[in-house]
Amino acid sequence: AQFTTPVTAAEVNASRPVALPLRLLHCSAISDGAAAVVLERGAGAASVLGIGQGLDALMLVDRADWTSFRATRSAAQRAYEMAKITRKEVDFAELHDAFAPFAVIDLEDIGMCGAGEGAGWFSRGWTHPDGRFPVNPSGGILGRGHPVGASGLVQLAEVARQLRGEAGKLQLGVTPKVGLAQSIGGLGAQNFVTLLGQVGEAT
Amino acid sequence: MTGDEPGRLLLSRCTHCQSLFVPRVGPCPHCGGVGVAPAAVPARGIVRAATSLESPAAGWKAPHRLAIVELAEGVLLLAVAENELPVVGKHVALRRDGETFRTSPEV
Repeated sequence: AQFTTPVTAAEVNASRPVALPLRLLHCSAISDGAAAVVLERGAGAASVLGIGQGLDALMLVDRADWTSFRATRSAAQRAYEMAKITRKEVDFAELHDAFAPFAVIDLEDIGMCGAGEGAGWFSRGWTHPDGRFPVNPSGGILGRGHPVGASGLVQLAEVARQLRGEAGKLQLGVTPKVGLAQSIGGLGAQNFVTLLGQVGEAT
Repeated sequence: MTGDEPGRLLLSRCTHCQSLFVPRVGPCPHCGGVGVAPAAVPARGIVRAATSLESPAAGWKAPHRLAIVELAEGVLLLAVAENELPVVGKHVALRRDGETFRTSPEV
């Protein structure tokens, strides 16, 4: 990760305004970076169980909701259907948090909780590495930096590392069986949700 | 598009599905219809969202205040607010300035 120094809520709220109410530390750093994923035949701990893409209008004024990404909701639905699993079988997620509120919205959009409940999951610590549903054990895009075109693939790589038990000091205490990677593209107009896990052991 | 009468904004109405929308390049955003007729609506609306960009795009000065305003029939448009950050839920007047919509406090 590019940013590994912890910051306090007070420091976030004292950082310079970008687009109020968002301040600098709510926003990811546009960075250089690259990612690659090698696909191979056969079963493994990080097999693709399901993948879905969702679309929405590009302009905010053409969207039905500003506190949810319809593109994530439809992508998640397709991914769950392809994988033939429900949200309850997902152990953790790498969510696209290019801006801090995205993570809250994402958690709701992938169906983990109802609309308006996401913030409570974070504030209660349920999304911590040792919480009921770890979110972004990698540090997320806010921690990693945001090489825009590569960020979506990095989400997949970080989920795969966890599933294989190869995440080093970031490894979750109980090696997860199923992970969810989400990416947001085109200002939330073209989003992907991918479910990775062991084929045949997802249920 | 120009030619707004005082206190009115000239929008577009789809001749197929009758939806009202902000004039744009391309077909009706609701049904894809290509038939468009001008439709004048009151140049006022309710602020639904607002922000102030402190690092705006090239060509704009900070703070660049933006509001999404709801007009007649639920039509939303993005407008520039020059003097102060509009308050969500308040009524504002609108005017067209070239290709930009601008708000001013309703009098």
